[in-house]
Amino acid sequence: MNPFLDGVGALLDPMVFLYILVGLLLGFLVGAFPGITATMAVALAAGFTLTLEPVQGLAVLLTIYVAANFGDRVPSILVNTPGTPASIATTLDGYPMAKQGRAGLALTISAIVSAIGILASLVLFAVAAVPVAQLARDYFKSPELFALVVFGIAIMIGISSKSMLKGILAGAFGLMLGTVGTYAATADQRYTFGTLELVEGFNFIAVIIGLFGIAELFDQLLTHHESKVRPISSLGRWWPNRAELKQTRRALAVSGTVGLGVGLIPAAGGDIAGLIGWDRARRVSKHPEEFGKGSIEGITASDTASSATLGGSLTTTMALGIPGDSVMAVMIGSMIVWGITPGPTLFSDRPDLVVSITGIMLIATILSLGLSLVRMRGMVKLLDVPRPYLWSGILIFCIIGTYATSNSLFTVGTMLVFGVIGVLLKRMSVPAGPVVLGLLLGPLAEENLARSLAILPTRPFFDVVSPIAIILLVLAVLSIVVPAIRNARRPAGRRASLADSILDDDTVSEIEKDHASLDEDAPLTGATAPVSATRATTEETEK
Amino acid sequence: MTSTDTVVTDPPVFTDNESAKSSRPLEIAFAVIALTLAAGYLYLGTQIELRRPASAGQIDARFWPLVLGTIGVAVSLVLLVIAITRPASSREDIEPVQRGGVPRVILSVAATTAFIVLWSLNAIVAFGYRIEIFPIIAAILMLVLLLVYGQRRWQGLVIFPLAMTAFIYVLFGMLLRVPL
Repeated sequence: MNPFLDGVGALLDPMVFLYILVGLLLGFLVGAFPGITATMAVALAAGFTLTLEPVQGLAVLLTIYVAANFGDRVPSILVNTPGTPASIATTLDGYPMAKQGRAGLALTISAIVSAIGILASLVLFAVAAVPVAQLARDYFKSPELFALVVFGIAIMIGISSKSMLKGILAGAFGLMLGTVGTYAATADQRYTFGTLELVEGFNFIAVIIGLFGIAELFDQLLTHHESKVRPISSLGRWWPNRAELKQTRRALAVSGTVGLGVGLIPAAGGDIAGLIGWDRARRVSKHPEEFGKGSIEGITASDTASSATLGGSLTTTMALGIPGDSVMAVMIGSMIVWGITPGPTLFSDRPDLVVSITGIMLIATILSLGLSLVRMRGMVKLLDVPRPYLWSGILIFCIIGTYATSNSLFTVGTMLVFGVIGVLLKRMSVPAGPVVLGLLLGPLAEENLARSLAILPTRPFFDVVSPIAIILLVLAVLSIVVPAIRNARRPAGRRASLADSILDDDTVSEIEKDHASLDEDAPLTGATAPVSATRATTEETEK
Repeated sequence: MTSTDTVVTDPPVFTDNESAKSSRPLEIAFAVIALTLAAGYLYLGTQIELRRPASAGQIDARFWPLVLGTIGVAVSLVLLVIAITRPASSREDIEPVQRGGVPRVILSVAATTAFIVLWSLNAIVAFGYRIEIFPIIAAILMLVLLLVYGQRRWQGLVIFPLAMTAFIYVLFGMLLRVPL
């Protein structure tokens, strides 16, 4: 059989379709609940999918990833609160549209352009994944692989950190965690303190459920207060007319291109793409003054761009082994447990997986679009689920999910400890993304550094260290230095991570003013959360 | 579970739009803890037992931890100097802690820790019967968590823990054969 038929054949298993449906439901739910990110959901689901066949497990995780990109638009538009960080830019025009009585239209356009964005990105994945992997396999030896890991961690630090020093510390902390256990080259034990459970290192799933699940939950427990914002009740008409669809074309093209490009950058996710896409579309629009005031072009731009990152993110993850975003970091952890190691050799060993992954995401996108167009009214009620049920449910599932990975209570304890560490890091503005990336990629970095250093004395320097490695290392340095300089030039009170500083201050204050005036003019709901408040959630840039 | 159940919520200490306040002592404490941990990691790195010394050109099990430990100490030191000499960085992007938030977290951690300890007992023998402990303590954990999170109506406090425990026990314990 050829890889295409193998890949399609794996999808014909009825259980795969069942797992896609499970992922669809979970993805929508987590997307619709503000505060539960796709990363948290995928981390949690990873604990339960480890016993499944790889394609079945991928069906659950990838579908959550896709469906969360649809579900998270609902609270963004109706409550002005992003369901996940990827829909931050949706609030800019989605909420004003809802306030003007056009919530149904905003939800429909959002779902359609999100589907277009994901489908376009899937074409990119299907076309680019194998050539990128082949290129990496042919030209990436140990020095290049070491440089690639350093670049991956550095760009995650550069994008997600407000303070570069804290970001570097987070990356170093992750790399340190990666040294716990047995050193593969010599079988020496490091930092195990005689504990049998640490001989193979920290359980990756326990760490990510702790850092992304428990820490997120604890942060909500710390900061939760009753919101005065009530969902918009007047949804208006649903279907856009021909003129409205025509308005979306330019924004669709510009922001789609932005999303595809941003998706290919490791660590840059839908939140960054959504804001950049919105900003670029506004610059080329014939009516830039309408952006932020309920513009159809605006919501098209934000949602196309954030959704179009999925394929690019998947490409860098699968073809290079460098997670495109934090959901993909979790995915890599699960795949390693299944015996599949993402990286340059993956698609030469398992070319059928490109077909299976594309197929799963295609089906998930179509089903999510279908569900988006029929379920909106019911989804609004989910926002009213009492928090005590939600929180206690999340905690017990985090515990059981972690336990199921190893049937060991030590692992559950590890999860709890990393949950506490995670919330402390979060409160100190230390991003969790570099920690996870360091833990995941640390052993790979060490192994390739060791090989490179072993070869160096035997051959001329530039025979060993190629221009590719040097360029990657230079890019790694720039990834940290450029944001640091940019932040240093801003006043102390206005320093922010990349995702928080894409829109300039004038634009942000203008949008806040517009949103405030909408509240005064058309009180369809209660108070409005300011744009600056929604921007605060971008600390999950790793999403 | 109904949306009409009573949920006790804490009055906010800050208004919606306020953010956490910047704090120099907090930044200094963070830098000191980071420095201590990095120094501890570096010291323990020098103590790693090597079964055999590295051959020429090779790196041993200590090399990478020492590199990382040195980076950690250096960065922590710079952070400490900045924390002491410069104004504390803004915490505008961090939501303020609400009244009751810290006790909620502490009680959640304590309840979960107690749950893990009790779960490790696996089963107890009472009245001549072997009683599996997981379903009992899982239901109690859910009940405690609901109380901590502000749930007060007895229907919610009884039905939800029992239903969740039954769901988890049937799905994971019986169908997926996870040894709970």
